[in-house]
Amino acid sequence: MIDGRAPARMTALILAMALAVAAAAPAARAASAANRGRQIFDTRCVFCHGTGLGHPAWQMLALKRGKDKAEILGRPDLTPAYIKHVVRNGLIEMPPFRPSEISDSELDALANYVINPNASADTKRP
Amino acid sequence: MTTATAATLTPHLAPAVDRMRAALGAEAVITDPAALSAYLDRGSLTGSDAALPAAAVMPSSVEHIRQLLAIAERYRLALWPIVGSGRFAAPHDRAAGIVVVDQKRMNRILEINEDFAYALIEPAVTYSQLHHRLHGGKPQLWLDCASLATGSPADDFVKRSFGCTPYGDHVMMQCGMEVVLPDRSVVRTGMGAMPKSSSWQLFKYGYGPYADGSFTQSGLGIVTKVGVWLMPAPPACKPFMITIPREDDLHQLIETLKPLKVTMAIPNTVVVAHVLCDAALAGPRDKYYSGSGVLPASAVQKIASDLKRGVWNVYGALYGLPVGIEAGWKVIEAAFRKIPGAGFYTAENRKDDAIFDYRAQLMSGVPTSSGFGPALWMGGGHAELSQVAPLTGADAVRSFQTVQRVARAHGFDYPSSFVATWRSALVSGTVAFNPASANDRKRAGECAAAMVTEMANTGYGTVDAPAELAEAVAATYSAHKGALWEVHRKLKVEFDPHGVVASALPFGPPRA
Amino acid sequence: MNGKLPRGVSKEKFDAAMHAMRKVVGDQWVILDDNPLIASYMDTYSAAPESSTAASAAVCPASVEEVQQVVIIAHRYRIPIWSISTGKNFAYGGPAPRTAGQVVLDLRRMNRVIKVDTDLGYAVVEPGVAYVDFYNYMKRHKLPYWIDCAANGMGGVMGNTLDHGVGYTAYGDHLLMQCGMEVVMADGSLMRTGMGALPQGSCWPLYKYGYGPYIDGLFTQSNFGVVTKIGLWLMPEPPAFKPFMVQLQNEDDLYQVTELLRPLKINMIIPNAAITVHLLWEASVYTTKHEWQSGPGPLPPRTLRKIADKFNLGMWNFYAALYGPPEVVEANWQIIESTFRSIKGAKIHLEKDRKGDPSFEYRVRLMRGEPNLTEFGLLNWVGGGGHINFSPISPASGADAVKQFHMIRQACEKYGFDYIGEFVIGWREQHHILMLMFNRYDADDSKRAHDCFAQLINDAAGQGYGEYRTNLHFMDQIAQTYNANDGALLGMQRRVKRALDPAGILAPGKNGIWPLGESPETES
Repeated sequence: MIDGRAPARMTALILAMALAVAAAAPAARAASAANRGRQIFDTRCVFCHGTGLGHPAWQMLALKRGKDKAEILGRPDLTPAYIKHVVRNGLIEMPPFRPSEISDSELDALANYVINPNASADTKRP
Repeated sequence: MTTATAATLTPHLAPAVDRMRAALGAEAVITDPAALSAYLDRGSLTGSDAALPAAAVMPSSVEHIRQLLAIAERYRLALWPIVGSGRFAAPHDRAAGIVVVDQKRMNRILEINEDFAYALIEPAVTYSQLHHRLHGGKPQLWLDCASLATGSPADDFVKRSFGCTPYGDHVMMQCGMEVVLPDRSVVRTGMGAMPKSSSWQLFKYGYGPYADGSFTQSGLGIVTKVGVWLMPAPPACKPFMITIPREDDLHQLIETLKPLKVTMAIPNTVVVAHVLCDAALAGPRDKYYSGSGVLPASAVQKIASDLKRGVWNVYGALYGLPVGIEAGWKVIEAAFRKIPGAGFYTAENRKDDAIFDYRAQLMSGVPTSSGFGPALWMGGGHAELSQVAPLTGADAVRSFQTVQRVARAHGFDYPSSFVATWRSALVSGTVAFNPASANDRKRAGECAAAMVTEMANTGYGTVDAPAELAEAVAATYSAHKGALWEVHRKLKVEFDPHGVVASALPFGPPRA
Repeated sequence: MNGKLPRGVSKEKFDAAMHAMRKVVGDQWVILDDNPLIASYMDTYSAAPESSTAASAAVCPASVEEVQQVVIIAHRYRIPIWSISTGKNFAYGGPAPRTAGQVVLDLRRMNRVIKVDTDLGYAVVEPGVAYVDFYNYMKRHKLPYWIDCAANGMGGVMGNTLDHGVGYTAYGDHLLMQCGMEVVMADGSLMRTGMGALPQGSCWPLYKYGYGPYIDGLFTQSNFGVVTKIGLWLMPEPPAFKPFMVQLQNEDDLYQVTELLRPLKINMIIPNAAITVHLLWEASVYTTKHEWQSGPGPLPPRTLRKIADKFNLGMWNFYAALYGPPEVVEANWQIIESTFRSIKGAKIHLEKDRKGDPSFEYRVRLMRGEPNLTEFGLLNWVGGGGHINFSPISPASGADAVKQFHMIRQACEKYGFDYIGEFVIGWREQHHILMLMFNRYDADDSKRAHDCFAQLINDAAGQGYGEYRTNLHFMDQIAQTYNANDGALLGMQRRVKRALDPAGILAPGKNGIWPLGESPETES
């Protein structure tokens, strides 16, 4: 459009969009990381850590530590460091997972998802 | 044996022959040229120009085979195993150092187990021999015949031939084998390597690498026993023939067949026969046409209508409970009815058709003898070829057009079929020629060679060819700088450093 | 570096090799044993110390070209490399190599489903595709084919096939359904088998045999090459699917069910890999040993009866499924129902009869090709993570099944373990799997498990029974039992090894195949 004020309005518009994108970027990254964490949980972990009988880790935790410890998603006593250590080293019945299966950044996302599984639900998806 | 024959023995051969006679008995060793010429095939691409082997021996045991290998190593000879109608086909520059090992005396049926539905057989056991033994068994067991009644199931496994029942894949239905390696060790594969095992014919893989396939189409050892699974006779069987009127229907035909094979709605090996193949089963070409040159389309049409067939004829069968067969037949009929003019025949409505009966027999586990076939189309000169194509209409058309074009360019009919197994089709045909004409023979050789090359260039690899073309065929499998045949060669050199086992296959690196 | 160097390799050569490999795959994808990440390459389920199979390093290529370059470097420096696909071969060694000091060639990053052709029903996959990924791929693209997965949903489609693994649908014999193979040879050259060696065309995953020797099988349960792609045939979604369970009251019913099953299998009335499962295997989904007995030793028969009653399970539980057009499925069902009704006390259940029953549900999932890990509830039976599978082949005969069952149970009881087993039924044979569960944090428990396994190998061979697959620590002992004709088979395998890997760098000791001049003794 050919308008004397257009360039200024355009600049303002572009600037506003840029700011919006910049603000959305960490949120989008967070959303995408949380999604990635959920995706890994759903394809690697849920077999054993899903809820109920038929999920061996849930079953074991329920028997040994009680039903309130059986569900690891959102369990308040877990920390990212602990989760990552267990995933990489295994723990008793749980096998270890190698970086070629779950990369370090994916492991971060997974650990954060386990601790805060609702994070991905909070963030607006694009 | 006459002194004239003894005089023709080359120096290193004579002491070897003496030792073979000592080991096997004199009557088990043949040096007479007239007798040796029985191992040639006058109808082959080499014909009477073929070289004779140095001698032929008839072992009857594994121990004989081991002794023969030792003699071959000591006297720098090679052994060429032959079973049944196999032929000797070494080039002249090698033949003088090769002894045919005719396994005809290794013809014992070692075990038939009806409960577990298998047989353990020696190489020269024939289909008719086995059929006779199986008759009246409980349960009745069928044979999948990949060749005529005089053929050998063990050899058909080694050659990887296909039959027409649901057990048509002979490699898939083989279980356990015994092979004598060039170093004279006797290997039982799979569970046979466990002493006292009763699972040799029950479980294919054993422990460790699954090696059985390495002894098919190979020169890595001499096979002495093969386990074969047998199909229990089903409650009912319904062989059928679907006639498809026009050559151009091929695309739709194969597209219709494709899902029926992938879902195993038709569980057996389906043969889509060009009418000339069926015609050849009933007589040679001059029964149908007296002219020369490639058969014109009008002649083919006339043959089809005289034989009450389409240009394409689909042979398949259903097996199992009658209710399942009826349901299956409805599906097949509905699918093929979409091809205008398709005809549907079963034993109920196809009478007095010897060709249908022959095909039905093959699909019903009964050995067949046929006086005729594509090999006799032109009086007995024959070169059989098979290439693999995907089971799609487009590939069927492209492969058929290629082989027809090459055949025509060399002046030959090429009676051919599509043999549908699992997910692919074998495009199988015969270059039939007059064996009495040296020119025709030469032309046939050129035709077959051109077919191998053109089909390979079009993406359809040859998996069966006359011995004369073995090197050329192997050379087409040249991907990754000939890596596959380099592996074959390494195995051959390691297994057989002295070259005591000979075959038509080339174990030198393929020509680029 | 902390642990063992590969045999015969100096520190200088090892370091030079690792340096060269880092240049190929990137620094982060060479994991040395002073990196904590090496812990993820341990066999965390075995009865032997983890250190006995601790890798000196792991290398993770991302492409065939990288594999070739890594193999060439390994060849130059004579580094033994042990390849894994997904590395989830639980009970058989997982991601660990046969001996300490070997370098793991971790192919998990090569995880593409290269192609699924819905026209002709085949797939081509790379080593790192796990069953769960393959399943999700099919679902995501809405493809009308079922996969066949092993009981371990994280297992590798390729790895399982190459180890002669089995699944539970009509396509359960994984090696039978494999068609076409690509292999990196020990000299780094690339080779495709069968029709794959033809430069033009697409018949590679369509026709198995090619021209000349059919050698695909040589690259299974062996160390003659590094497989980088396989083709496999897929089962079209069946029009009807009818899973069922037969709950068998008595232990002795094993004989009858096996005898009745054999003709149903040989005649393909039951087309899938059906399975006869001992009570305790199924019970582990619901309960653990400690809920029934606090002391050591196997559970007595009266306790087994209590468990069976509580969870409504049989002493044996048979599962199978019918696939095909509805009319055929119903007709075959009539035959099956009347067959199993002839077993006294047998109860036949369909899906609707056992809704919400996790043990039936997971069997149904397996028979539908749906990956899961429910079977590993077995790890909770005694806890402590130890499990090793003893896997003899039995003829599909009642007498052999019973004989093997008693033989195995007797050995288990002698060493203080429960018999937890199942028979996976093929056409004419059964894969008899014993899950030997123990606490690997208890040295005594581990030793007893190890000794029990070692005795079982000998007991079985004494009766003419051999195993079809095994754990790292027993590969040699089992290979030695296949010794007919003065070890002719192993002699032949060594010939192949000399032909294809004369330097002996690929997975030394896999299935008892050692390069010339090496043996289990020289490795320790």
